[in-house]
Amino acid sequence: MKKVLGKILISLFVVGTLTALVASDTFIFQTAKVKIDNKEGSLYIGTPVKVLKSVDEKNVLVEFSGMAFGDKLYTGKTQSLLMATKTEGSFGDKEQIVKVQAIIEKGYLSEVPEEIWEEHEEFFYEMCTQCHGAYKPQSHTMLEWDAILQTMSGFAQLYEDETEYLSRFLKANSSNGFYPEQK
Amino acid sequence: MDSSRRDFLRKSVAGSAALAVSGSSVGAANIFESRTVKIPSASHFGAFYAHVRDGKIVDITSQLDSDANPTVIVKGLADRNSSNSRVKYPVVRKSYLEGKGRGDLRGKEEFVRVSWDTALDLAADAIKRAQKKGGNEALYNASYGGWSMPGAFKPNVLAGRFFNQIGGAIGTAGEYSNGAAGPTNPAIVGDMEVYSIQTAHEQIIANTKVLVLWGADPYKTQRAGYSVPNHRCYDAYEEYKKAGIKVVLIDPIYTKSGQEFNADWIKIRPGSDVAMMMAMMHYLYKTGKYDKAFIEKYTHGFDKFLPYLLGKSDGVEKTAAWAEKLTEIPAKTIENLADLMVSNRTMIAGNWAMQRAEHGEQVDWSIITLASMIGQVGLPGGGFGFSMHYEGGGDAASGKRTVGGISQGKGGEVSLTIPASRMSDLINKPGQKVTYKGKVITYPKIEFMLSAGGSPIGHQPNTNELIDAMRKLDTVVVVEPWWTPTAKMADIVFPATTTMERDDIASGMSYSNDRIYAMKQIVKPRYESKDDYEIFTLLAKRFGTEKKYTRDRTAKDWLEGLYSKSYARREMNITYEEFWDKGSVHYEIPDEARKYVRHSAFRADPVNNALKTETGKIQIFSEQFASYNYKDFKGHPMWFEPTEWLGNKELMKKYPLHLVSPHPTYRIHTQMDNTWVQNAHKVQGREPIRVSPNDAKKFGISDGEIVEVYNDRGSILAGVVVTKTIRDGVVAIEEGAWYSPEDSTKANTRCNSGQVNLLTSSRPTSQMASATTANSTLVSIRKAGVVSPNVAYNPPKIQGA
Repeated sequence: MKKVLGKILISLFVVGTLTALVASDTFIFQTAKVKIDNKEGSLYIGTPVKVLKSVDEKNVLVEFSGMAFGDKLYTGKTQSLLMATKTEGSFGDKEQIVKVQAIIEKGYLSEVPEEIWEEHEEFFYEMCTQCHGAYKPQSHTMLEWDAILQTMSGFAQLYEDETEYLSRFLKANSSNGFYPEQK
Repeated sequence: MDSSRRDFLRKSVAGSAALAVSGSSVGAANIFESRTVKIPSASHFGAFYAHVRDGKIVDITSQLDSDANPTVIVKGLADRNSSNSRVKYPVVRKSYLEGKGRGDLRGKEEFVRVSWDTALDLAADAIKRAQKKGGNEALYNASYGGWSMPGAFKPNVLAGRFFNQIGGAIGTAGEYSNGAAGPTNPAIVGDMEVYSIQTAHEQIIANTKVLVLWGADPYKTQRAGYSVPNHRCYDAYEEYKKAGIKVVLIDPIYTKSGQEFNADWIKIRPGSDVAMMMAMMHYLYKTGKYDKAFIEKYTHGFDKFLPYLLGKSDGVEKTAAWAEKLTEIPAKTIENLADLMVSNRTMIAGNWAMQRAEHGEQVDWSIITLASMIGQVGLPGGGFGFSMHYEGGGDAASGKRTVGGISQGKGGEVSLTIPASRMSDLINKPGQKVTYKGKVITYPKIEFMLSAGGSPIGHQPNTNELIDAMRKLDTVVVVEPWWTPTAKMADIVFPATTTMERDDIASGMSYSNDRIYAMKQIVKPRYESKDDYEIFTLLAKRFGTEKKYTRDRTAKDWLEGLYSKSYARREMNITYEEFWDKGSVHYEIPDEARKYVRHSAFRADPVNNALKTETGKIQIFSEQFASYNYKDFKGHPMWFEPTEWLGNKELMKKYPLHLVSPHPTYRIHTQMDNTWVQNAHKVQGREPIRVSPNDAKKFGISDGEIVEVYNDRGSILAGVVVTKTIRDGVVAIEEGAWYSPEDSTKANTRCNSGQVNLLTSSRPTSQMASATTANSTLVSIRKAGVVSPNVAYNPPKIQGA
């Protein structure tokens, strides 16, 4: 096996019928630019990853699994919750569950989900409790949240970017989102 | 007539209150006019001006540039403000004040006037006592939806905010309005659907050939709004008429809407609508007239539903003849309607009342499936909608932001919610379980209950059951401007100001979003009333959470903050002061919005605009639903025969009339029942009961008579209105009359006033949504015997008042 200093080994392999999400205790704190296959990519806020090793002072190599849809990686078939994107190439065959590795700056990682979603949560409770009591994000699946937001974004008078922002928070924290144990 | 008398009459007509003026003084009317100030505000019935002279409201007129067709209800707001039914001072129930508890005496004994501090201390102590006993799960915040008024300081929100900051409380999941359809529709069509903007009136006027009002009564329901109504829809309905749209009304009552549209009346037996839908679908399938291409391309699971429709899975073929027995609508009529709908551009306007009945979850699902077989979903003027009767349904959207309201903030540790109509079960059955959307909820033990801005003795079915339950609690606190029936059942009552006694801000409407209204203080707070915001701040003080509660913001700070996010402030650069001075801001509505057709994007490209369902299509079959393994709710829409309906021959021997309880014409639920507006329809001061001429004859009752309406759950007085607009076998009592017990010392005493929920059942729709089934009620009628006065609007006995 060739060993190249500073170069990154890319591994993409099929994991068969495993669920896309694996138990994790490290998450993306803020959507970040990363290197996948030595090309530009992005890892999206909240996505669970596993730290494999340090690459240098600033960066680490992480691993994560998801379902491929061209250059996008989602948690599952409904393409409801985006995990990562690539600028070039695809993650695998359509709906294939793949393991992906990426290099990311350490500073973008957090082990405390509450910390990641603090701002989103505040905005959610501000916009979404003006008429009725709050529904905890875990009380719905991500698909249900998609459906509910369609009606509710009108009543909460959210701009499109605000709906996107809230949608991410709700789906990431939904009953089948990134933190399924938190019920 | 001599000149001085002519002058007098002219001045009287000029609009001021009665004057005794000498004929020579020409300017007399102007003096009063100049002492009258016009103050703008807004309500659930429309935007208005209060005319105030010497600190008193002398008239209410509508803001005609924002209210296209004002309703008389708005004029009753002044009466409500100065009504003797106001809660005037903080009061505590006598035995409770004496430390004896005696919850069994709630609603039966006098109150004692106390200071604000005393009342607040007692309430805070009760909360702390409950927390000590059972944690915050022992606290029940029964303050339900935001319907009390259209402003930003909604009492239910203010209550929720308070509880959230002290650790949380038990709240409400779902609602009464769409308790069954709301939780069910997302998995079927990828949206709650019941509140979604459907289309613009322009689309219906231009394209719809047949409008099916399936229980919808927009002429009635559009009078009131969740926001501030603009009543423009009535002008649109005139255009519907001019466009020659054929209207079919499927309803046990030939409603105002039916009459206005000169609709064909299909007087269906209540509770059988799903059977009729099944039969129509069966007919469309057997004749090959259904839209095969639409079903294939846009739906999922038709192949799993078909065996049921054809009787292959349960041995019962859902033919029109089968449905005829259930609906009492001739088979030919059912088939003809299916033909009419499939061969013309048809809009199905579904209502909400049908799903407030046993197996309510089946209603919208069946309409969606039927509409799918007709195949016009996503076409202009076609498809289905469940909000055409709500919030100006058909209004085009401005696309611009108006104002929101105060938020409740993050939930405390405890954020458990129970399905809305399970209120009595929550109190009565601690430890027991209820199912809801595939989950199981366990009822905690409630010690403390608070209600602000709503009246559970009003919206909760089976009033006697609730009264009984409330008597078991440790403490009941109510925050209200008026002596509602719920306030009379409390231990501690705090007098709240009305919207006329404080500043607030509101928007209109939910779909058009084209107005922001200043709700200005009109008169000084009466007696010792305080704003809800102040009441909960004072309560929060006793928990050390007052700073969190207010963030040091005055009411004005909040209003300015809310306004600052609006399009008016940001894009139009209208300052808060300018807005407040003028009284309202208006937005233009772009022409594009008048072209909006729901589901047209899905229809154009079902892959890229897939619905938010598991398959991306309309789910006639849902694997998710099937996985719940419920006995009364399955993977596809089904007909489940109700237990309490005209088809139950056994029960009909005792109670031969089906009682429907529609939303009222002159109220929002219980609101405005304590005003003169009710004189427009009350019969001898009681809530009317509509009875067909044949049934009136059968029961030996006549128009204008007070009768007793009863079943196993309770009895009420109601005033008879004999009318041909209701079908035989069905009676109607609008919900919301204030409960008035004839003899509060007796259990299940008769209600003098006509509160229909003494007769309804709190049984749930099904294991799926556990929602309200108020419309599945059978009753009988008998002579009233001795009738006592209706004291529903009188305050209770108070010591020190």
